[in-house]
Amino acid sequence: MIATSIKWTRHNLFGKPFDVVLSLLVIPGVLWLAYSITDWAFVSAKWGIIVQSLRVLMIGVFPADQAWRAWTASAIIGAILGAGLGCVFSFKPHHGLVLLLVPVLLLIVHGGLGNALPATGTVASTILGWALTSYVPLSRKVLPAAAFTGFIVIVAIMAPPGVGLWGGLLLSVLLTLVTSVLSLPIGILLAFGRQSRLSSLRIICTWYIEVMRSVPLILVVYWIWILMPVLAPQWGLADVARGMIGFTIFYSAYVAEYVRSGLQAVPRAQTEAARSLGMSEFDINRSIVLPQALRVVVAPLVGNVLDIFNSAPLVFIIGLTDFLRAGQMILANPQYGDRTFEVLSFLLATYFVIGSMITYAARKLEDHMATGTR
Amino acid sequence: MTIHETSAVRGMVDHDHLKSRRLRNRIRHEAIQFGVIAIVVALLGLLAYAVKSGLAEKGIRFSFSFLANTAGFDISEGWTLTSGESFLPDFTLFSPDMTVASAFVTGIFNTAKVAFLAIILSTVLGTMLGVGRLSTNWVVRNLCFWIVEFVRNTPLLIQLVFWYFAVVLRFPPMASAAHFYGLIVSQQGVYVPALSWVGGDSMFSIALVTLILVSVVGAIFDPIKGMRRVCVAAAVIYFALLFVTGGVELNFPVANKFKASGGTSISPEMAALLLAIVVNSASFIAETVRGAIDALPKSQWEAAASLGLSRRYTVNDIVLPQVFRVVLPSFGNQYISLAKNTALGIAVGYPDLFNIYGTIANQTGHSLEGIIIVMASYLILSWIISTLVYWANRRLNPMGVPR
Amino acid sequence: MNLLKILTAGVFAAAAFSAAQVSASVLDTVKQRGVLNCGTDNTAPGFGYLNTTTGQMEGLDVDFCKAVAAGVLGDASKVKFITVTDKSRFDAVLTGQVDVVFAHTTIKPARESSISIDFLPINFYDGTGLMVKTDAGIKEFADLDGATICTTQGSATETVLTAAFKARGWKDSKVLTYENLEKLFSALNSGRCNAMSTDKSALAAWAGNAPKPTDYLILPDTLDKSPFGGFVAANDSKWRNALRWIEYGLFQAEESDITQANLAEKLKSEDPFVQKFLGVDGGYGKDFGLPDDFIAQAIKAVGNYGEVYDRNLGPKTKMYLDRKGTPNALWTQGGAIYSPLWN
Repeated sequence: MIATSIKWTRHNLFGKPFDVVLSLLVIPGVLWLAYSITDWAFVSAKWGIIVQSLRVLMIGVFPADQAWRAWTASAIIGAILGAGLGCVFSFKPHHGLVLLLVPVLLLIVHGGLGNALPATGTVASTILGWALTSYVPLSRKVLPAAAFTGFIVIVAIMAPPGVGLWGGLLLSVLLTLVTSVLSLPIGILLAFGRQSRLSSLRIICTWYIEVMRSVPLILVVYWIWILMPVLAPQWGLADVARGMIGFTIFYSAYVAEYVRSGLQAVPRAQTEAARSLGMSEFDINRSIVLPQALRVVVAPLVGNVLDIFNSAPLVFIIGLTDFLRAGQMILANPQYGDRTFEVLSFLLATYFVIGSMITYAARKLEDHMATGTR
Repeated sequence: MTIHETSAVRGMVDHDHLKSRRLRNRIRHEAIQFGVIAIVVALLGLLAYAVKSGLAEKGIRFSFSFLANTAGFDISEGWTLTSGESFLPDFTLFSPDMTVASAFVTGIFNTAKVAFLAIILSTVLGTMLGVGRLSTNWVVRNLCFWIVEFVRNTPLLIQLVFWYFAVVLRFPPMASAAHFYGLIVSQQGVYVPALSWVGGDSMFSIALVTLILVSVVGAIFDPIKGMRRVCVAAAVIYFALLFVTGGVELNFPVANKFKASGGTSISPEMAALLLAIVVNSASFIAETVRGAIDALPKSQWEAAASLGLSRRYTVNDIVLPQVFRVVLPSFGNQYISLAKNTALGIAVGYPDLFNIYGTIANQTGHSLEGIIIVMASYLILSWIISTLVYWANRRLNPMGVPR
Repeated sequence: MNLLKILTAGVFAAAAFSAAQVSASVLDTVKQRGVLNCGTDNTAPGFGYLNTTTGQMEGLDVDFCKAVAAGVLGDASKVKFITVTDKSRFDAVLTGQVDVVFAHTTIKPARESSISIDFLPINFYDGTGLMVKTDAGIKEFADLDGATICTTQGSATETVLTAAFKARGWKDSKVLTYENLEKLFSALNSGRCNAMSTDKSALAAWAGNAPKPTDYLILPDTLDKSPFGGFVAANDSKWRNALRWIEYGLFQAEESDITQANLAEKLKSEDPFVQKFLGVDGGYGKDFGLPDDFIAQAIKAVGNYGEVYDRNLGPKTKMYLDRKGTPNALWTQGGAIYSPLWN
């Protein structure tokens, strides 16, 4: 036992002189960092602030007495995401156990059952959705329609207290979902436009894509936020809606580039074969080119969802209270001025967990799609 | 495939018929073409008109005349161009007496400065991280993996705030800062000794500088094969000569009550922004590099090993040169998003273009005009980057060489 | 050809939307909508912030929003708080996304002359102050020559500091601006900033609520004054006048000793002025396009100015700002809170 571990250490850490130097430099540094972080996290950090303001972090300025609306919405989102997951990876009991850890953990730190209830509901509906599409293949067919209905229900439930009050992690997730969904069709159209036989259309689409990819998102969002009410005052679009429009306009260009790389991956011979069969251009694109192209780019598109989620904090510029801004709002109270690192660490950890899940899903999808084509 | 060819494929028709059909197709094509352009122009015109009348309706003024007003606010760091006494514009530190336009120039300068440094540093660090993920050392391999994974899965904005408050501002204060041969590392900034010109206009010193420049240019472009080493050596000798004869001298920073004066410095804000952006972009670059290395045929590694080449030589001389050829376009994309990420400087108080725009918008009220200037600046910056990358790509992958 | 049709439709739609702009007073829009869109900050304790335990908006500015909603619509709950940041507050009101902004905004000429807004009467008198760490050994502003002084971006303090440096001929002093106060405070704590400069009320709140208040010293100097007021889009005097007199109503109520608690009693008062002021008999509202009892409604919702102040900023709150001896006291007590003549 000891012999094998010594052998492993020799081979993996001190194999060559250069490795010895690297190991001697890196290992103490990593250990010291790990020690100081652990020491801080378990000894000096005061995590009470997180527990105390968890609701604000999750739903932001949403009125406390209307919180059930937000919790219902998050349960629906959980179900949709779970069901989406179920179409690709089949549900296993240990997945459920891991997910159930979240409410259990909450119960331990928070005490009251009432506080853990929303998390339990969301997790439960995620598991239900996941299990449903995993075990009942028929349900996959109705998923798009169900998800669409779900979105409408979410908006209907969340709207009454005022769209401007959406906030916290829920807003970040909603913004990410809406942007990802809306930017897909626009991105596809742009990608086709960029490959169009009409040079004018091609140039316009190329320009649009290149300009959007060259300016910072924060500017696009702010500009849309100012211009929409100037252009269409009678619509009275809420800040949230304008934020979503800004994000969609920006990310459509990125989606278009991903889709275009997929379109280029479809062998030219297929298009020519279809054309020789007398199919119309529209039919060729819809039923031959696009399905194959999307199959190739599904993993990068999921990666794009992560990008959107990670840039959601930029909506602070138009006064929305997303997850990060909710954290800042807690810190804005002078009493909590010295808890900066507790709050930021919690935000960072949450972002990391969600981000890792998305990355993991993207990798799995990539493998899934790769095996599908072979 | 164009329309002519399509009709030719179908063409079981006589020549005349084909010809008229081609003409008809062509006219239709042109008509649609024209229509699309007309509609887009009309839409843009309408948009501009609607915005203009909408702004007038709301009583929002729209003019660029505010650019000539005196700024009246200070910017914590940065150089700018002002119309000096001579023909050429002066390149000086910004001061509140200058115009709003100068403030914008300061912002552009600060943004370009961080973007330029970050591009170089993140390419180096990214390649190291990417290669590090394939290291034979278990700790290094896993450390690189987790750094990349962690950085890619969290928002840059929070990373930036962490770098600033948890790392850079934890440096010692000026009074107890470490002094190390003129290097001062404190939370007021990192100060390093700078070279300053004391040669006046002595002919000898100027001649030496010219010689140094010539040798450096020679070292970079290497016109005659093998001359590089000679050029480098010459540059070093000339420089030493210049130093000894008193053409330049080292200007050491001296700590005073609040900060240090003399030398050259990097402000904490810039250091944090640079660190955050470099580490972030490096992680994305590392992924690209690793992907490209993975995509290389395994036989290359085996061939190198069978020739008895060490792993380091294999990586440096066989793997990386091939990788750089492949990854350059995706590096270009990463450079552009890096340049855009500098707009987050506001989170730590770094006066980048977007931050200064915010101040200007608040002090003058002209936010729409400001956005147009800022957008145009970022567009130009991005285009410069993509042109440079395109040019580098052309040099690395000359036409006709298959990848 | 489909594309053509879509594009044509788009052109017509754009044309239709750009035409037919409404140009009524905001007052009518608000009454028609039945809800007041009020722009406030949500990160400024004492003025506008979200109480993270109760989930309710609180603060002086928030109470002014409620008073306006009560005065115009007769119901203080008919107000929607829209968060504005230092950056977005002017654009928000110019583009009509909010009807009025109360966001601890300093009144100064450049803001009214170059941005098309009109300020409402001053609702809080503040001054630009400086705070240092006690152990830095700095006793007054003059000790700060060559220092780095930090403030928030877009604040009036930015230009005040620049002007102060210039007046004293300081060359090495630098202004460093942060996005928000909590970053500013962290930067002061870390030592990056030698002094933190913003409105004195905010300084008092941050020092007073710190884990060890004695660690911080607010310098005696006041660099400049900093009067706060709400603002509306320019060229709408109907709306602006209505708001001004609601605000003056709160001032006058304190002077006439009408409070939230004794309102019911005062409504039965025989005093002809009180009867008219509260809209029991006649009233001032009609000509402003407001209900006659608009002041009574506003007082019912938030109380008079003194009550609003004490609830949000007074010595019993976390802000510890006593009105006595400051311009924020009523003019009868030597302050500057003064309502024009009602009669």
